Amino acid sequence: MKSFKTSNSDEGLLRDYINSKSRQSFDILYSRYFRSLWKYLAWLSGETDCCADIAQNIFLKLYERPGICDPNRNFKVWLFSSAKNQWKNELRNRNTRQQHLVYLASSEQQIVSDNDGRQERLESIFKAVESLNETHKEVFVLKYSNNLSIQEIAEVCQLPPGTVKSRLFNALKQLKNKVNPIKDIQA
Amino acid sequence: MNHYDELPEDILDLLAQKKYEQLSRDEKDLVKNWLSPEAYDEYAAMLLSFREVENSFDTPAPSQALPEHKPTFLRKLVNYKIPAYQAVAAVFITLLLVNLSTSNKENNKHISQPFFSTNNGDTVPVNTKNAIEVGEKSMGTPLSEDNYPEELVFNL
Repeated sequence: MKSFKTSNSDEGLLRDYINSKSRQSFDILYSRYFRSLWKYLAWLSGETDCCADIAQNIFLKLYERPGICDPNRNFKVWLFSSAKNQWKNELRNRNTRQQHLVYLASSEQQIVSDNDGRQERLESIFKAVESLNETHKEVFVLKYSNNLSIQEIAEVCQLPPGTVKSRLFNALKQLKNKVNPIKDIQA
Repeated sequence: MNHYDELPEDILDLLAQKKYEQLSRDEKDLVKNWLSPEAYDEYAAMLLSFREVENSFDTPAPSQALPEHKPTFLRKLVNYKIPAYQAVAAVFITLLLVNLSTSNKENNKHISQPFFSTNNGDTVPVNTKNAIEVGEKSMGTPLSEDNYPEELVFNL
């Protein structure tokens, strides 16, 4: 049976955690968004392990100081904006130490396939998304990986909603061209 | 201005949810203003594959785990489990203490009831209220030179 808390809104759960330090509420938020946040960062950065740590760090901060997130504002927007800022800080620190990033490309091996054609298609999708420029990739991932609304993406990216739609559709077109180049030439 | 700025959000959502043939008539009418059915299905298939790619990823475990939950004192108290024999012992001791204190009170009542005997052998209870008042008064009398009883003054 679906519990009351599981069906509660993100902001309601956050409010509950702020007021009563309910670990259950926190755990629901964590299970809803940890993987989602990790995927967002992994697509943006091309890394895996480091992104899990950044995502975990965001939740640790929220766990220790729940007041850093205003429950009257959209939780998802706060979460993804915080993750993005933290990733940028991380990147800046790395540049000064001149460390190299390890790309997600190794994850291609993890793609499960039952026949060669399907595997090829999945690999081409993976490479196509990875090759998008950062601005297009970000809106695409936030929409189709993290299921954010246009308004929420606009707030995370600090862009007008119209620009988000435009970038999103351009990203879709670029992906289609990269995944089905022959078809497009024939068309 | 790019005309895709005006693209309805519903179309962007539908692309990730349904094939063209699964759309309702209204949805098809909406989509047709922007995309051909073939283009719609290509985008939809691509997004379906993208979901498959994503589902294949294993999320790595973060290096730092979330801290264990520290319950508040009140919660600890509420959740504290007491063994049955301790609970029984506590109830027994409480009852014993209550019983002892009430019997002591009754005993004290009898013992502390002041009385004095008269010459004919009767006992008369003392009015404790008055006795306390008298006692308080006498305790409060200063023995300054003016008030000192004359009988106790010896002229040497």
